[in-house]
Amino acid sequence: MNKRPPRKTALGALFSADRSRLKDNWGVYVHIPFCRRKCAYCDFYSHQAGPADRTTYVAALHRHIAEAGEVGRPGPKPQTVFFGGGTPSLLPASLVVATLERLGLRFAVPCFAEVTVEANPGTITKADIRLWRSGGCNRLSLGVQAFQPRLLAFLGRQQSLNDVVRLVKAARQVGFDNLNLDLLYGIPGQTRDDWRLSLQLALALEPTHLSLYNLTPATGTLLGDWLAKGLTLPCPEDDEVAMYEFAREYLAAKGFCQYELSNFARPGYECRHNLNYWQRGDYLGFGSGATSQCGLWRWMWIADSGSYVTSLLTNRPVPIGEEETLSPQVAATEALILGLRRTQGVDLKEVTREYGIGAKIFAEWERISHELALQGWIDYRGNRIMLAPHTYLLANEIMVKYLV
Amino acid sequence: MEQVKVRNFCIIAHIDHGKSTLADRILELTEAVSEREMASQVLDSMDLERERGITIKLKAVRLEYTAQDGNIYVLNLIDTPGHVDFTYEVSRSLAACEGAILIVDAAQGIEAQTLANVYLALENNLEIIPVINKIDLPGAEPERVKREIEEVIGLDAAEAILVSAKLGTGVRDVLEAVVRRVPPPPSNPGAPLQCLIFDSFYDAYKGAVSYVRVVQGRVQKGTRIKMMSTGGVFEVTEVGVFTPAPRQVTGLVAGEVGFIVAAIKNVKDTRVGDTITDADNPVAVPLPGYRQVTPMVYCGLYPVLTADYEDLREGLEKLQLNDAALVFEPETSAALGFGFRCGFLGLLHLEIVQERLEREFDLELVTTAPNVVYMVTKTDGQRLTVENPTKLPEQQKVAVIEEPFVRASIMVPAEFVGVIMELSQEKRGRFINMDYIANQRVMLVYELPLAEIIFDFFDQLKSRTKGYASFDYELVGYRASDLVKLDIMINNDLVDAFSVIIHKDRAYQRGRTLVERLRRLIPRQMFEVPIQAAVGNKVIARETISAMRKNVLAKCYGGDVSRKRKLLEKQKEGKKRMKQVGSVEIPQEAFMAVLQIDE
Repeated sequence: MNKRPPRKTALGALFSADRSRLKDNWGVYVHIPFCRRKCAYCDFYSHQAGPADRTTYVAALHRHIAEAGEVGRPGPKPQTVFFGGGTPSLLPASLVVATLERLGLRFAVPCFAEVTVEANPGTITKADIRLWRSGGCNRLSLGVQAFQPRLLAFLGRQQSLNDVVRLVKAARQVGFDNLNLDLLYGIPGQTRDDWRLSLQLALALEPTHLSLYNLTPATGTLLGDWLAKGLTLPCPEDDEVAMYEFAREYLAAKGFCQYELSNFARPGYECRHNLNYWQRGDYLGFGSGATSQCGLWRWMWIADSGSYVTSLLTNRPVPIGEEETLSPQVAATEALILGLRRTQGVDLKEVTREYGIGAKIFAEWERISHELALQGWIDYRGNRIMLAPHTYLLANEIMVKYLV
Repeated sequence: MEQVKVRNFCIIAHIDHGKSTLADRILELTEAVSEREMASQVLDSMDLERERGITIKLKAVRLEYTAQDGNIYVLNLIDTPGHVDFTYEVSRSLAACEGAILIVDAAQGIEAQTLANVYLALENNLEIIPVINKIDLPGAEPERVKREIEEVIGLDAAEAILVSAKLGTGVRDVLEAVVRRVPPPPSNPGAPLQCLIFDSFYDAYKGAVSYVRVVQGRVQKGTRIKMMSTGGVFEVTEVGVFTPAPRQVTGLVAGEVGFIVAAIKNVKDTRVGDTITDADNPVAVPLPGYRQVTPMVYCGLYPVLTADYEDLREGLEKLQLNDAALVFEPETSAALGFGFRCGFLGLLHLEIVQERLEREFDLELVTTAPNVVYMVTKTDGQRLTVENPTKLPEQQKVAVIEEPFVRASIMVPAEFVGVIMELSQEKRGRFINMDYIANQRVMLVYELPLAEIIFDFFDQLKSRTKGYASFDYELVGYRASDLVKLDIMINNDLVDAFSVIIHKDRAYQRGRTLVERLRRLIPRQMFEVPIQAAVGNKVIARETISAMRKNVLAKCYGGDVSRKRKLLEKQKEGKKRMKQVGSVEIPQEAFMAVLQIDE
């Protein structure tokens, strides 16, 4: 990993020099690191903040976007915008819309771009949603996680079933027809019946997209702590596996396509922003803790909103928190690993060509693929490899084999 | 130096009876080492020796001592190892001496190893000076120990010297006794040169350095020497003594002990036990050398990382330069890849070599279960030696398997006789004799298969007798036993590294323990893995490792990629440390499991 000193507007430099270096299909990610309170399992960069802090943060964000380049420069236009967090819905809706406007101006975001905003039920009103929609947002992602009050309380989430239903109804009324719901399985105390019910309730809300995440207790989170200290018992692995398999079958029967290890959509509603990640496409991140990638270079703006804001408002360069310049081989390996997350897999030849890596590595990948295919772990056709459905939950085991 | 004023002696003792401490005091008293330099146990300079409190490689030190008669004497102290594994090295140093200090612990009395060493010393016609050490201990009973010395060994204990090496009491008396009682070496400096090489080591700058005892004649810088076994001729570039720091001298004459450097590139040219003579005035007959050491215990050593194979070879070669008892040859295992079959004097020797390889050469090793050397007679009458269980012919073709037996002498307080008998029975021992010796102590003699001894006999002995037992053994020959080969199959593939030769009655129990342990040590794989223990074609134990259900990253978006990739790289690193056998990944610890069987 090459550590570079923080540069004067790394983004600015990138754009004024050669914006066409970004791959087609690139996306914009905006990070809003505010939460009402931290959920027990969350390991993202987020914290509490008062209204004044939020306004200042957005002001800084706008400067950051302004620095990023000049209008009218040649180069591909972003195809997607994603407001994530934290809790973007904690910002006044007008500020989200204003940010989207600035992005539109700077990067000529096309009208057909997919614009997602993440929201937590219970933090938002119908008026806010209306404003988002009229301001150009066209995809709503709701962090539902679970429907059972005892599980929500365990996770430290404040929302009611009522909030969710009302919000979804409101979203429909103001014209959001692309709706994602996030659900968690493997929550300590969650039963297979809980999960079945959650899926049924979720489908009753008629989403176009479902993200089903296996709860992963990271160290340093409250939940990780509880488990480590034995204060709570983990969900039995057999149950987790059963929940996943049930969801795959159930959703398939209900007309959803699984297009990634944890993601399901009605045909045509796959999340374009996230697909870009799994194709190892480029992206620019704005906001404290947001990550950007351009080719072999990946960097994260400092995950400290205080210094993020201060540096932007005092015209100093935004510090880079972490950065990495990959070798073509490592980048190609990432492309392969990310590609394997997609149900349609990844084309080894295309990756080899795109990153210009040697025939030797390609040959090694071929050898590994043959071996894995022989054992039935993957599907290997032409140059394309994809996980066999019964190995979705063993994806790491397969991916590790390709690290050569 | 007149030869009448030279004394060559060694110290023999049971482990922990204070040999190194007495040696330290002697060095202090003769001012060979200043107190400032005096790290405790000067002679044990190898880290490992210090940590384990044992002496592995013998050393020779030249001391100058002003005796009460006013004369200055040269005392050559030759250190000897205390552990039974190294009996061979003891016999080497004894051959270079005229006298021996026999240390007996004032509280513990005579132990099995004390006896073994005394017999060796008597065989070499050494003058033995009994020393009763640790008289400062509250439990010291010097009078009782004196009686033991007289009754058990048959030495006159009237002149036994009472010493506390720790406090320095009586050390001068010991040196006076050496001067007075140990005979000076026979001296004929005018005769043709004859030196016995009793040890050698390799120095990166000087080449092979030989420790010698000059038996007759004289050697100095410039002497053209000839190695009598190889015929190699070299010119001496340096002659010296250890004080204990090496110090050059003009020459060594008959009766003296020191070292010779002669730009010898290959340590094989300075074979221990060989005789050095003057190339221009040779003697006709070499000195009686040493018996060739035969390794008693074999095991396979494999690098965890295949790429370390050459480093392992280099490490073994370097250790072999100073350790004639270590033998090795390349070996291939279907499970472990390329490695070496290594032969050792005993289990302690094995452990020391393994630890030195890991410490000094920074290697990570997988060790296969140690085994003894078996003699196999096939049904067609053909006889062969088997050093590796995988080389055992198939069951139907084997007529007889013989294994080495030892005669073990175990010394314990009388109350533990029952315990020892039970243990020896469990270990397939045959009772030979029992003698009550002084003060409610008993000497039990058993014949036991060496294979049982090399496992955990000594540990068991110690723990079941609360540390009171001591034991020693000598090889008595090969006997036919009802032995079988126990194989382990993982995912239906035979894993050769796990195969052991074992008594038929033990096979079932060992098989059960082993598969049970392997089930716990081998991580789950993507598929169900059966583990079976088999004798011949018959499966005698079986366990199953259930398939891994889940290893997946739930989320992987733009901000996660670096972290998640590193996580996978870490998993990959972890897997590299495992041995891939068929399609199963087996961690290093699983191979260790075979070594640590407590049934």
